[in-house]
Amino acid sequence: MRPGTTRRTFLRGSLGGLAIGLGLPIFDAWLNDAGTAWADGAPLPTRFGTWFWGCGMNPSRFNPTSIGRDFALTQELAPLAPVRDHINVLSGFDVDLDGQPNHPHISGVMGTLTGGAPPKPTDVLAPTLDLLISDEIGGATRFRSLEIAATGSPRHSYSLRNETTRNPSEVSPLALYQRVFGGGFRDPNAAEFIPDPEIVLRKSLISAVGEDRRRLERELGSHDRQRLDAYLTSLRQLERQLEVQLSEPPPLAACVVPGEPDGTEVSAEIGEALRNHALMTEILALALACDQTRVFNVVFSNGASNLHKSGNTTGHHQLTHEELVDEQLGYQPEATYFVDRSMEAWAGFVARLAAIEEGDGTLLDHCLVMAHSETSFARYHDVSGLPVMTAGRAGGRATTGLHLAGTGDPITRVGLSMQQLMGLRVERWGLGAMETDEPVGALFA
Amino acid sequence: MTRRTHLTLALLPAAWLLACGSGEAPTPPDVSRGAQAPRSLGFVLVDFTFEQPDRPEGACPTGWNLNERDLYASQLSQDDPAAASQVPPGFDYVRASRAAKDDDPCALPERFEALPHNLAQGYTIAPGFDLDASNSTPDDPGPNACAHSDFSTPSGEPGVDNQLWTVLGCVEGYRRGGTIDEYALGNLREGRRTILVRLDGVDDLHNDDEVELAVYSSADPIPTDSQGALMDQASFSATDDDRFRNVMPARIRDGVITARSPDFQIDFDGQFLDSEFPLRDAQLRLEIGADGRLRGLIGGFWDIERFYDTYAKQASRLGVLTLGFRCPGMLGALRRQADAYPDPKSGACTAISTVFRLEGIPAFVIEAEPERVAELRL
Amino acid sequence: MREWRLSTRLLPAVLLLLAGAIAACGGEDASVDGSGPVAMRRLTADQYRRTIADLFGDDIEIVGRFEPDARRDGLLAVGTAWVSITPAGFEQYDAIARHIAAQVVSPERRDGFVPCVPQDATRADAGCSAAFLRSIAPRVLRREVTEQDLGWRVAEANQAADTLGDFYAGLRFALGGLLVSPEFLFRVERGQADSASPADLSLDDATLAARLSYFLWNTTPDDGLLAAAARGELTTEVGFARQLDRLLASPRLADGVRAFFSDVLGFDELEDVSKDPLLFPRFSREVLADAREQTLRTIADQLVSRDGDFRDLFTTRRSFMTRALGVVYRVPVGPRDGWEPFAFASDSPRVGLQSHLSLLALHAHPGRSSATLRGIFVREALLCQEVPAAPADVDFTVVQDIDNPSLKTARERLGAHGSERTCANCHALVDPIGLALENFDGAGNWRAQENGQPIDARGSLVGKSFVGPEGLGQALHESEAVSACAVENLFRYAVGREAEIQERRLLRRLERDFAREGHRFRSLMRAIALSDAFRRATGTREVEPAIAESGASERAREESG
Repeated sequence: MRPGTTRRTFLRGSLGGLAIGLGLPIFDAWLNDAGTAWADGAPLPTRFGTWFWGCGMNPSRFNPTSIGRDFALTQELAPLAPVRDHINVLSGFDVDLDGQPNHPHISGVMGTLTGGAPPKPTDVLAPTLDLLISDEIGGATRFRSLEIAATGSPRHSYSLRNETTRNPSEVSPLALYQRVFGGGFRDPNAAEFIPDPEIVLRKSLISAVGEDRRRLERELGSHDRQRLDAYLTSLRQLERQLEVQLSEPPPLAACVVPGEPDGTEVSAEIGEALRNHALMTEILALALACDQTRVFNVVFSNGASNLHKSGNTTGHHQLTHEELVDEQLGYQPEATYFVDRSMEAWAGFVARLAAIEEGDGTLLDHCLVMAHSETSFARYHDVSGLPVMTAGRAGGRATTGLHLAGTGDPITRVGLSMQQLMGLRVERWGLGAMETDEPVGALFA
Repeated sequence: MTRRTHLTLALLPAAWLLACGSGEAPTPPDVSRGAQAPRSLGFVLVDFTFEQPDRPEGACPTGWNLNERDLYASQLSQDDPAAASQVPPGFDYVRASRAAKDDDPCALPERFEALPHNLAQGYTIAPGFDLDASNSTPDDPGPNACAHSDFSTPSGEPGVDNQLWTVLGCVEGYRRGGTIDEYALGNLREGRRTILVRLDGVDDLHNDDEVELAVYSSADPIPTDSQGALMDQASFSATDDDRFRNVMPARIRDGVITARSPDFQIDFDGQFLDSEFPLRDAQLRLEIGADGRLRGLIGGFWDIERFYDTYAKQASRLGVLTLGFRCPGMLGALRRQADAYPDPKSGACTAISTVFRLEGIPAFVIEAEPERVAELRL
Repeated sequence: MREWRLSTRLLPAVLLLLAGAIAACGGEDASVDGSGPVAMRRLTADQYRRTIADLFGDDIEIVGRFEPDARRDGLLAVGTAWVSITPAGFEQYDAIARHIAAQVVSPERRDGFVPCVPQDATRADAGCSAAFLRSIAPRVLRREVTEQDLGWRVAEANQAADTLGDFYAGLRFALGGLLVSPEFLFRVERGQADSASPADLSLDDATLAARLSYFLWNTTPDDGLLAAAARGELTTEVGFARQLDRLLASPRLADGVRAFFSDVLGFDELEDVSKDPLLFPRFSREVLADAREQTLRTIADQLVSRDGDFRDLFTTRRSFMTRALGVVYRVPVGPRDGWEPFAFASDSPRVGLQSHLSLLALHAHPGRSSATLRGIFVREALLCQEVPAAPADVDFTVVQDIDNPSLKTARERLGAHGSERTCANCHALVDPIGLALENFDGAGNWRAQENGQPIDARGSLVGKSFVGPEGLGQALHESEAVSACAVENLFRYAVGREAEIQERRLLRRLERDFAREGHRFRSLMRAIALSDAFRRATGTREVEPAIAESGASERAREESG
């Protein structure tokens, strides 16, 4: 059933205190064709996420040497030892600039997520990978996706529909908690379910506001019509959230409502970033278990990482450029400090998802997470051999525990694989020289 | 005491130090580096408490003074040693030790027997001032005084008046770095006891016979930085309550600033205290260090009833238990040891000599009402 | 007057008409300066707050997070014409709107906004709902409302009132809906084709009212403007000038000037500034907030209260202080709370905005200063010059050994980098500017030396050498490029877009007049508001056909369900 006057007429006829008397099947019919609706007893949903850290790694210390299973963990992958069976490490996948300039700390991530290196630093040639997936699977949940950033700025987000539309990140554990588990949260395990008449009315109103835009649309030029479309899409998302709140959610054993966190400082100081990341991971993991969203994006540190250590005049990014390589060690020790912390944070993230039992496995088993960075060796803004890892088994569709080498292939092969593992019907992806129709086969179970 | 009617600024001593060539200033000032020398220096105190002499061996031959709890416990253990350790916390020792009486011994000390109080003995050396211009002995206390012995300074100058120390020397809470010192520092940090010092009219920081020294209370707390350190070069408004403004002539000789104030008083609040710090015949001796900090001593006669009110009556149960004394005993000791301002009728002295130390960091002392600040010029 | 109504079908025809008209004219019309396209402009977070405060009162709480405004071509004001609203953003707007609406109809406040009393407060009252909406909707949507606008809103209000058994709940819903309407969240700009000159459209009264109000006061049109718009006065020369001059004469002009400079100076990024607390213990969020206010207050004082020379912003020693700032600047501050006018001594290093904590801290790193970032700021924000980004293949092997005993100061370290050809070209454009400010560390504190070495604050700009912030200020004062850039920035801020080619002549004239009239901002703002660029438009902004198609197919998908 599509949004429109049909629904409102129906509603009008049955309101006035009778909302509670409406049977559930009517609400079910208002759910979009999500396909993976669990109300019918279908399998648990598969979730997709990205986990980004800035300023890459040291290739010689990060990339494993042997290919396949049982590869030896390198120094920079050492923190991942406890979760190595849940992850894959991919090396040797490049962003092919295809004649475009290498915009420092931008081309690598935009190439990975949009499928093409941007001509200008602000260009967004296509919606990012996570949006392609959330457009497909995000409609069934309260939130189409959740974005979080550990270093304090809502602009640290790589979920971009176009140049001017970036999904802002939550930066505070308390704010994230309140958004997900505050007012508007329907506990799937709550004993009684009563649809809230306020929600019914809000849905009706939002729907009407959306309808009203048609009159405005006729006055606008094409540029503004596009923007009004985006406004409408966002409005519809709220409408769906309200719909979801009006239908009884099935019980989810893995869903446990967490306690409200204390307010913390948010900043790019490494200690605070790690702390906030851990707190927000906790909330995000339970948001996934409670099926509040199925797509998420975590930015541990942004491209050109603004992380810094208290007491040091030089931050992570500057260190990657300014610190001399230690002759004995063969790498930049102070810059690498941040690589180690980033990998510890990633390992902690994976472990947290793996710690929640769900169905016949864990939450992580029903997730597919792609961890990546905008550069390999940050000093030279190298976009070849970008570090990429996956975590989770995508509900059984993906393998884990492998090191796979790309030998200079475009990194769009990884993005294509992610989409296919999430069930999108797509055969090729990428732009220009990065267009590919070859997923990374070994990832598929 | 005259109130200044135009804006007075206290600039940093650091600029002075640069001018005098006495070494590098700790924090560079953002003020005029011009030729005209600054005339005012300001400080806010970060330490203000009893200056203690070194305690000689055997200063308390009968031990520390007991508080009510210890006394009660010692009485109990005479009868039943085990009982002493089974007294629950919060037990009202004061009430229990008074048996049937219901009155507060600190509020109404006269109602109780004069209890013993161990005085400190054996001190001959103590910091301080010769407040009464005489080297007193028990037989020859000097004019306007009661029998006592003066001390000598560590460098051998005689005539030092610090009789309060004989009363406090065997009270454990008054040990150096002990509870009283902690409360004093805490009060300063909490902002209820801000004390400002201003030096004005200084032409030469080493020698100047005509300068003005002012000590004021202030309602402004000292700001702290993100690491919790007290910040220098903050601005503070001096109180306009005349009771707590002390302005006096001073002189500087060889870098040492000296001044006298016949009737000195500053506000002395802190936590549950609502009191004043009053000294008669006060003398001050101060120096500005190479680190820009002000350090020195202030001595004078403290009215014993007012001392008792602050440190015993208001301190009350909490005070006596924490610090380790009993109010009636303290009052008796104060009366016995008082060494100045004899009561015309009874002849008993009503004030007792004491010395406080002070330390201050550079600050801006703001005097005028806000509407006058528009004419500000450095 | 032909009503402006462009649809996808008519677009090619209109474009042809425009092209034909231009061709037929054979050149620019000398009496008309030219203008550019309009696009709807999303309210910035600040504009949203001020609008709500002016509509419903200062004491209305706004609780929620606005999605960040986007910068385009260096200005948030230009970005407003490009951004849309994300799902997370809309979620927040909806929550904020519901909370505002609940406060407005609460018993304590409702008398100020509801012009009638319902017959029965436990049910709908269509007449009173309509009266409420008729009075409030034109102010929220910033235009006259039709019965069509009101009809469905009254129906929603009545439905809510009856369901919940509370008349005022109905008003709460209706107001909440108004506040998430695209015509509230965006400033839709409309015009009418002028039969005299079909290539240009003259913007209508409602649009001009909003333009004047948001440009000059950064808020929604007040009663005077709304009344003038309703009477059609803003589309007349006399009526427009009267309202323009009224707004210019008001002290509220300071709000508009502050918003402009906050945009140009990048103060929205101040929120993200964090300084290492071990290295800069005196730096705190409170100091940062005061530092921002100090700079904006100084600017408003100079340009609005004193109607002074814009260039003096770089040479003035006048500013304002609070005690929290006084501890960082190390100066005495009289009043215990609040702001005091302040003047730095004639030989103090603090002179001009370039020595304010706000700019020095914003353009630096968390742990140290940055001559490069400060130089880039001057080039981009004050000179309107684009500084190319660092190349990806830059080689740092020559550079920067922080522990090198011979490279103690930033100047020395950057100098080692300037000897490398690939770096030198760009760094030569920016470093010499910022190096003049090296006496100010990463948090804006003054210092005489770095790592024991005295600081050499020589700098240069466009071939002119100088020393320290005062020298830099003098160079900025004398630079015609700085004044021209201010004109161009203010123009772009006012119209929300880049200048079109046909507007270059206008810009040059504005720059000349600005210089001739003592570089006074009030008269510059007046000149911009009176220009055709501000009051006319060439049409709506259109996109390239390829993208327009995919937009159309999205809508087609929507409509077919």
